[in-house]
Amino acid sequence: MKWPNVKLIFNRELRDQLRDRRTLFTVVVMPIVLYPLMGMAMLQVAQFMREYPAKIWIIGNDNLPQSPSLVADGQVSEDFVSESESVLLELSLSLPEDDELKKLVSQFRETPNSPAASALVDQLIQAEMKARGLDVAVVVPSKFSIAEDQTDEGEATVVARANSPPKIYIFQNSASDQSRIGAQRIKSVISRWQRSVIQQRLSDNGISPEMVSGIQVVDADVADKLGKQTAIWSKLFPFIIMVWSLTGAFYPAIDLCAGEKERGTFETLLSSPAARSEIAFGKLLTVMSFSVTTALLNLMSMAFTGLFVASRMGGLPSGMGLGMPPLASIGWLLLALVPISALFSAIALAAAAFARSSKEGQYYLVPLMMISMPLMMIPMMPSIKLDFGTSLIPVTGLMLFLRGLIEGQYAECIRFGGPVCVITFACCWFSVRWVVHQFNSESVLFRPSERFGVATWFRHVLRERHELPSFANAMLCALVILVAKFFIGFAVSTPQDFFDFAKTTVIILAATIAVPGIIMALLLTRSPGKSLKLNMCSPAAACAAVLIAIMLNPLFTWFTSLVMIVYPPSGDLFQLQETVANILGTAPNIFAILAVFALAPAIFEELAFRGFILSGMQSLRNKWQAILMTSVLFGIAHGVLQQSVITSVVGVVMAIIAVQTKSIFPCMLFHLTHNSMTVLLSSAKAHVVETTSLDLFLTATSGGMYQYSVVPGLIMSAVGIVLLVWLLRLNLPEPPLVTECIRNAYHRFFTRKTASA
Amino acid sequence: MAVATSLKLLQPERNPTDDLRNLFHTAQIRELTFDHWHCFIDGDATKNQTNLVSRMIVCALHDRTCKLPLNSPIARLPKRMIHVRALNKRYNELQTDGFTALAGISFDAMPGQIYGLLGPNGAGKTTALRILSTVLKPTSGTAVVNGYDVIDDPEQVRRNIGFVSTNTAIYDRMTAWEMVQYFGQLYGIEIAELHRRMEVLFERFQMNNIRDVLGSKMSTGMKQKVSIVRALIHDPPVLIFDEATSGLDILAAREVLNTVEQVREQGKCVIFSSHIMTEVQRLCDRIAIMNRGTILAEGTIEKLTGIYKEDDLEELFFQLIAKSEATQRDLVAQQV
Repeated sequence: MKWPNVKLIFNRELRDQLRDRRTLFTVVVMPIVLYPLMGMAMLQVAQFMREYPAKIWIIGNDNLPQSPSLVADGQVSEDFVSESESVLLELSLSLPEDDELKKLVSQFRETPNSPAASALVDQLIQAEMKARGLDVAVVVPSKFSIAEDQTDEGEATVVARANSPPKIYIFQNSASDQSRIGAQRIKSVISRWQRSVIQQRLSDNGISPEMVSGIQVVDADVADKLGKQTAIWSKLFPFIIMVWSLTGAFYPAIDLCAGEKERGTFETLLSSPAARSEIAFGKLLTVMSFSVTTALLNLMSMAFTGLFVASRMGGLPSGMGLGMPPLASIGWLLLALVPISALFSAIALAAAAFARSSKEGQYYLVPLMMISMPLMMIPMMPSIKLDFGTSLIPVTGLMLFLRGLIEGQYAECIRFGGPVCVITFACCWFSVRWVVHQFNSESVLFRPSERFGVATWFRHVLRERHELPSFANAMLCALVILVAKFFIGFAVSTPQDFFDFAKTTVIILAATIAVPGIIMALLLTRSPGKSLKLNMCSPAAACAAVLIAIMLNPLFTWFTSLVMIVYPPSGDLFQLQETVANILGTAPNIFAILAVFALAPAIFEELAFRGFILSGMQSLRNKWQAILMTSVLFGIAHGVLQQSVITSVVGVVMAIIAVQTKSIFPCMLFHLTHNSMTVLLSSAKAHVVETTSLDLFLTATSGGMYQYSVVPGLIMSAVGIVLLVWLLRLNLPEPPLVTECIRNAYHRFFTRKTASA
Repeated sequence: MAVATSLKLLQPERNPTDDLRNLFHTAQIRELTFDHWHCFIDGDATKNQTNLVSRMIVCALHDRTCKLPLNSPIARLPKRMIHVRALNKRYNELQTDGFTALAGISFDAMPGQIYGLLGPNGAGKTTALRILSTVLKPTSGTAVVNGYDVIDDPEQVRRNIGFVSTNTAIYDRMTAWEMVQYFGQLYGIEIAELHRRMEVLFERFQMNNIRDVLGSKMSTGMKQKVSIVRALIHDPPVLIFDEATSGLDILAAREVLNTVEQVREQGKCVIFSSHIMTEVQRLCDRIAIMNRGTILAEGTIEKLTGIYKEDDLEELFFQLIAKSEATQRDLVAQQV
């Protein structure tokens, strides 16, 4: 790649974009003008914003205790409301005009507990409230009293009343904001009044009100000013930066690719001596510059407008303490902005390269936002913090890292800085490679406009099939498996006993994993047997696979424990494990459990993953790439994070076995052995271990479970690794297909028969 | 041995390498260099054997029986600028069950020659020219521009061609001067030399009045002029005009045609695709009439009108296309 050419293309594209009014408007003018305008609008609107008085209808005010009285002169008594509050409460004390309603209301007030009466009253009050424009109705039962006549009624009655305190009924319409606000207001007034009534009763009886006031909690904020300022910025800044760097990248990307295709200049550029990668990099740098500028300008404009509006509107609620952000945080933001924009620019450019026209390009923005938004939203959640797990999530990890830096938690950041950087740069690298690939791909650059029809597509698929699956076929298979698993997971009910559990597990495995793989092999390839790697397997390969599974088991067990430490399982997972353990308790014997957990996955998962998907990945002609990608997909298909990580690693070993032995059967044996050993280890009983002298290898843990002892475990692992390395160095010829062997054997058998006859 | 690779590039489907190797072995030829279509044979070969080799090379290059005098010890061929053999291009589209845009076309074009590609829309002219300009890759076959293969050495091919396309392909937000300068720099021309060339070209095409006019403000004729200057700035030996006059008014079109003639006079090889008969008749030294990805007839206009006994090129074109369409219909009918 010649950098002068990249620079030349970058300069031209930059100048071209700067001369485009639409781009300039989106990137420069909009952020500078938009936020102040929005701020001004907010200030303007704030002038119109006022609270309207709620109309409260009180029925049966006479039944309330009159000292202290809640209502005085048709208004809420001044003792319980401030002047500003009393303006917001308009009382109506009249009785219903409608005779029927009046009757029903009085009936309700007599016996409020009768359900029929209350339902009827509910409706009628609503009708009356609507007709008269009332927001809230307060109904006081006719027999309302707060133990006023203690001496008259006797002790027993007082106790009974204390158990069920007198009630005031508040009718509100929760669908109306005004009604809800009104109800809140009157409730708070009533509670103040109630407190005053109680205090008066207590002092009447010679008890000091302080005796029942309980404990008063006083809270004080120890956060310093800087901490308060960063608290809000550390969440807000990364989010704004991310959203705007994506948006800022998108529009120039569309103009630079789809727009250039539309104007016909792309062909001219491609026929110039500039290499495709130089063109891609030149354009990428341009898009990045706009992404960075948009993000920065938006951030600055938003911050200044926010501060200004906040100061004009009389400050923000206490605790938010929005001030100028600390200078260090801005420095960190600028540093993080480079990889963020590189990532988003590359993704936007690759998507835009695919679009035939600017209009089509616009359609890709929404899905792109939909994918990246959750990644940006996760770090805003209060319970998420930077740890090893979150640091491995693209975008999210970087945002949390950035938040940590802004908040000054440098120790945390240094611990997880490595994974965050590795993941971020890996993402950038892959997306840049994707862009270059798009620019090198004829079918992307000169994509003809064609109508899509299922029938034509299906015909095309059948006609164009190759002997073995392609990379796209493999990805499609993985996608189908993931989607099928997702939906079937919803459809199945919780199993009741072991047989129910076994049935569902095996059916799900077969239907969601094996069936897609087999059907795709039959439909999409000319040689389904080869695609599923149904090649014969030599006894030596089978033995090697079983031996590797046995020897590597300690290593995988330790790795599992490590994963459980790094990503501690959630409560839900524990519950699930417990449920499964309970169900397994009802299993008839250990072989039934092994059939479900070892045999079924060994057959079904291998057919799909090490069979069809691995064959598809191998079409990329890079052994390790195929192995790693298959294993990652295998891990993702397991759904639970901890399990995904573990199975990905086990998947690497299985994929190596499949690639080296060129047959699915050793993988099945490995899978069967590995899963069986894991199941047996988890269900190992003390007496069995002791009687079979397995205690040479195993040591009991505190939870009554067994773990591999360190020395034998290490020796086994070393042997396993040596075996695996030996297998890797082998270069075996491709064994014949099982079907061919059966056919040959059949022929041999019959020819011998006929010969002897 | 240089010859083996070069010949392999030229004739992959025939693979003369093995034949030649055997021949060399029997003739005890020590070395055979192959430089820009001139073959030099060195060794103890008898005159007869040398003749045999040269005839074979000539046949391989011309893809037809050689009629050169056999007594010439060295086969001297005129240097060919464009050499296309059995060029195939297939698009894998869903809708059309895959679509063959080019079905094995072959032609050669010499320096100082205007080679016309004549055909209706969809005949495969643009695909052929896009392959020559390395924008598309052929599915099979060979295309060589000034000795550089489009697949093996695309960058050199791009340096040897100037491409003027159907749509005028001018950046809206760049002035004429900036546009030409940008492409000149991409071709790696030193800035002083570039400006000197630009001055000359702007003067020659009377474009000094539109130097600082933005692309969006130019008329179609102006745009096409800028496009031509852009294609000429690196002084390429081959110029490709892909329906360069379509959409132009009669005056602008005439200017383009004049330019093409000027370029020929400078000894450049021009590939000129069009579906306008008068243009082709006026300009082209040789033409190929194309339909459905194949060349129906190829040669000088006089030769074609002579063979088909039809004086009017337009009439000849219609006849050939109609005949080809009828054959196609028969084929489809047979398949059904």
